[in-house]
Amino acid sequence: MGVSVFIERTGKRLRVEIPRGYTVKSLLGKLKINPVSVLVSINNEICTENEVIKDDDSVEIFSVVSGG
Amino acid sequence: MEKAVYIDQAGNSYTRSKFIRYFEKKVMKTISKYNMIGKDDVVGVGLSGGKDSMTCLYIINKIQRERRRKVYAILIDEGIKGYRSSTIKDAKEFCKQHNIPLKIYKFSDVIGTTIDKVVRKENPCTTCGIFRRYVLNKAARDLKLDKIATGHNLDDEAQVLLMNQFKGNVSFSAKLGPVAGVLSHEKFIPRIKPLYFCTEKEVLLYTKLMRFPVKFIECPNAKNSFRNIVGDYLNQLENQFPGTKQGIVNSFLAILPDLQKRYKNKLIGTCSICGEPAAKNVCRHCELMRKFKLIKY
Repeated sequence: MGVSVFIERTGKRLRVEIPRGYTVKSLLGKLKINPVSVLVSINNEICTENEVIKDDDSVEIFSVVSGG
Repeated sequence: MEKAVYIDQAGNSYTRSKFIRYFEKKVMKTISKYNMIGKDDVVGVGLSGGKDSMTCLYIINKIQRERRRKVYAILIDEGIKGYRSSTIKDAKEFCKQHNIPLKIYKFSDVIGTTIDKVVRKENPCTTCGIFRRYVLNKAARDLKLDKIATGHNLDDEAQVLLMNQFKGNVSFSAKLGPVAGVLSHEKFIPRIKPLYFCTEKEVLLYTKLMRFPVKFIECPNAKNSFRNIVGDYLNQLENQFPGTKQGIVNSFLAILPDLQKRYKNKLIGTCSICGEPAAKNVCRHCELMRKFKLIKY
């Protein structure tokens, strides 16, 4: 299944193919992003790393690190 | 059923409302434990427009309102093209919305230069930090503040402690802690860090849940800074060994009284040029001003 992923720090939007039952934690692992350094929302709702991603979900990854 | 937005190290889940209560309670506990704000204190909050300072300002404003005491937001414009203008806009909106007086101090007015003008001559983050502390202290006296609150969080403290360790600057660590209390100087306004025990992730989550107008904008000078490298390293460690940052800070707090005692004489002094607090005969701000040929002493 495919999901849309927006990475705030780079400003990039990707289409990522993932298997069913994939969690936010698995997605971050696939994208090689450290879960400590980000916060994730699915369809504009903040979620935990245990959240299971569904087909056509829109995932946003926010950088926890300050900009200055 | 309300969804979980946060899971702590012990595996406890938090919904939106539960997390907000948990976060605010943690900050209040820090303020109370370290006696950060006296009942008659006028407090200024250093506001950058980022998540940490905005959160700090929101909570301090809440406390001060209940006590019917004044709070000011102090924004320092360092003169960094393409960075500060956007955060100033967010800060203005936030202060207007919460009815908080906002005072803007520009490097160009107080110091006579901007970071953009001196960036090639010296490490920008170190220079900016020294100038910011100088301007913030002056602003605090100008506004007759009793305390300056900053948005420093657990990550910031753990990063600086490691940086000082790596560079052999142990005496600098004696100035850290939830309250910068070792400096007893008539011109030094005490600094407090109410978010001291909150991780950077917790602060961002709070701002998102509270819908504060915070955007990710990276300072062009900070991208490859030593601090960012140490921060990434710490996040890797935290991912593999949860609790690392808290452990670093707790270990530091256990030895802080000894560090303060040991470096007491090194921390209290007066700059022979500007009269501001200094660790040496000339403060670091004046050292830089001399280097940039902005003063002739």
